[in-house]
Amino acid sequence: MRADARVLILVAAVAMSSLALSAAEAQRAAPDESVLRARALRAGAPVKMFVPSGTLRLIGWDRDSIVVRGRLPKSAQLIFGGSDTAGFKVVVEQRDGDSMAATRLEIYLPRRSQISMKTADAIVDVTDVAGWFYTVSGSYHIGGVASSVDVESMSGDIDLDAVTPWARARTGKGHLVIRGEPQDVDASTVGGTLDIATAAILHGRFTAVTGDIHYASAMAPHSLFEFSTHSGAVELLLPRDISARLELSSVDGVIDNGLTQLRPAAAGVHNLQLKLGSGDADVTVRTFKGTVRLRSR
Amino acid sequence: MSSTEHLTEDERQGAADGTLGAQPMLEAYRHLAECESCAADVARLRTVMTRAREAARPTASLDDLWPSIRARIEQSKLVPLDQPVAPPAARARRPWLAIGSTALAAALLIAAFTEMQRRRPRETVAAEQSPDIAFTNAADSARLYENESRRLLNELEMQRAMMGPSASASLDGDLAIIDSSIAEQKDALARDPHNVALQRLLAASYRAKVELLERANNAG
Amino acid sequence: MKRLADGAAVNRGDDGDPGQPDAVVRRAQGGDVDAFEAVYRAHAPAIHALCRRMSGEDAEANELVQDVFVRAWERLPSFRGQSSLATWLHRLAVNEVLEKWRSNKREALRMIDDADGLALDAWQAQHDPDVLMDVEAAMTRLPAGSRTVFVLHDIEGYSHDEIASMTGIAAGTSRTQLFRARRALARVLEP
Repeated sequence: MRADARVLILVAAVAMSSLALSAAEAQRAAPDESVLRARALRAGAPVKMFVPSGTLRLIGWDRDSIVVRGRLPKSAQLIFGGSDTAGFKVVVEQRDGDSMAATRLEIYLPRRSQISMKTADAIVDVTDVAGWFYTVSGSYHIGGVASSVDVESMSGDIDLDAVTPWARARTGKGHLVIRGEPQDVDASTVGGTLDIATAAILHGRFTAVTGDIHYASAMAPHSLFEFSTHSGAVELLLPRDISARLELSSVDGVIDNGLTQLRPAAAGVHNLQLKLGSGDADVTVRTFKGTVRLRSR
Repeated sequence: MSSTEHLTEDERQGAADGTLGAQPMLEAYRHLAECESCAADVARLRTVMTRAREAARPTASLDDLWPSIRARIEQSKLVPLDQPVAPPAARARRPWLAIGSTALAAALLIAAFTEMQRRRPRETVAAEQSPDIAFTNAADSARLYENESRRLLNELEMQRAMMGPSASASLDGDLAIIDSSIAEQKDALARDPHNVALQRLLAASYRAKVELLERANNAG
Repeated sequence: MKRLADGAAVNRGDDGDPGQPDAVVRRAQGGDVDAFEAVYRAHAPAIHALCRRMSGEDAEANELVQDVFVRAWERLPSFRGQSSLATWLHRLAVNEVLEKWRSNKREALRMIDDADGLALDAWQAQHDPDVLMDVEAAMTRLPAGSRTVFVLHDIEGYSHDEIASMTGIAAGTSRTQLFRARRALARVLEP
């Protein structure tokens, strides 16, 4: 039997079992029972998800179907339905104010799905799907390959570890980590630490208010970086053979250049311009009163 | 594609906007990691897209347009007692009203602009002449961001009831941090009005505030 | 339609769970103009930004915003919450702008010119390479067709197929226009 025929049969079987399981769009999950729902879903269809708490895995796959499996707490209600055009919804509803922390779900969906996901405090691991991911105080780890990633949190941690041309990440006091191979990145925190450890970035904008920013990597040729904080420190750990033009300024903070012998021209002057190598990358650092620190790796 | 061949125009554009399929995307990335020329070109295209998107906000207050819209809505609701009901097409537009309201809106805009010019500190006018194309007039930006912040804060009042106490406390803490940084930066800017780096820091703080409020409005 | 990429580009504007228009919207649907004013205040900046980018002119954008919200008022009773209100208003605004252009012969001709690429070439030829432009100014000076495709695709997140069905040009033409617009902008923004 041809492989694609087997896939079709598998999807049809899963879809039929899901029809039997979802006689109504919304079904209350039986106490402590595992959950399995599946439906055919066009690649590229919008998918909205709301899962308040628990542990979730989102996995993009090369099939035109969506499958949800795992366990839900006693009082949870799973809403699973919609259409390719109007959008598909996966919602775990909280009933009677019970905790949803025991939720454990794996959600498989077409790689090109446009996801819009919200959680309150769930721990979410995402692989190979693009979209907008939001949490109040939970955490996201985003990996795999995605056409775009937009992840936001009020206070949760974000670990962006994907191969993607576009990435945007925001959190308040959470820890924000940028690694993987993002190419165009716009990331910011309020008080949280921002760590960047990837040489794949071609255009990066990193901002914090009181949080520190640490960049520890080489810089791609012709890349463009902008770092800014109010009172947080900006620390750049760069290879000795870095080729970059750096423009560092701080209104009231210290510029600590441990990379070359060059120091600000005079006491009270808080600007420093450096050209290292042939100056391929373009780096601007601005702080109000945070320390700017250059170090070699 | 081999690593020695440059990407085609379609591949460069697709790599820039992420519309290539997963496999071609990976192949394109492999090439971009090795080819400075293609990487620079893709980065250039991506910069255009990023800047276009960044230029999309914020938008000035549009309060001036509402009276005219409201008037048109109210007109469409009126049914004269002593005349037959006009067909929908005839009721849809009131040219005289549109002209009048546009004139009123224009007058208000001119007055507002004149007032803004009058109040604008000298330093921002001087800064406008900066050759830096990305520089945005600080006073206007501040006004726009403050308007947007106010609007979002108003919206947030409706969301507060649905936010948990810890999320609400976290929001208040972050808002206090940002407001404090804005106050410090404004003071510093008053002392050193030509400092472009300060103006950018202030703009970044305003942007952080607006984005925080937008995130908070999503929390409900 | 929902672009989920960069923050500046994302048309998120989630104002409630699709399927459940919120109380303010329901009041507006019932004829409460004050409630509709709240809808206007929440969404007008995004709609104005869209109209300004598509029309390239502030004055025209102001007119379009008024038309869009009057049309939104008329059609609001048909809003059932299948999408977010922001998405619904965006779609309405795009249709309104394109409808206005279709009814305007001059604009229609400009679209045809663009399809031949003549207007874009002329625009680039006129541009002084020594003068840097900001992106807003550069976008407004793109010919209407190129600007429309660029705004719809790169900022609003429509696919080429959607743009084709909305504007009446072929999807391939939309793609070509987009590539040319990006190249033109790249040239004037970073000569």
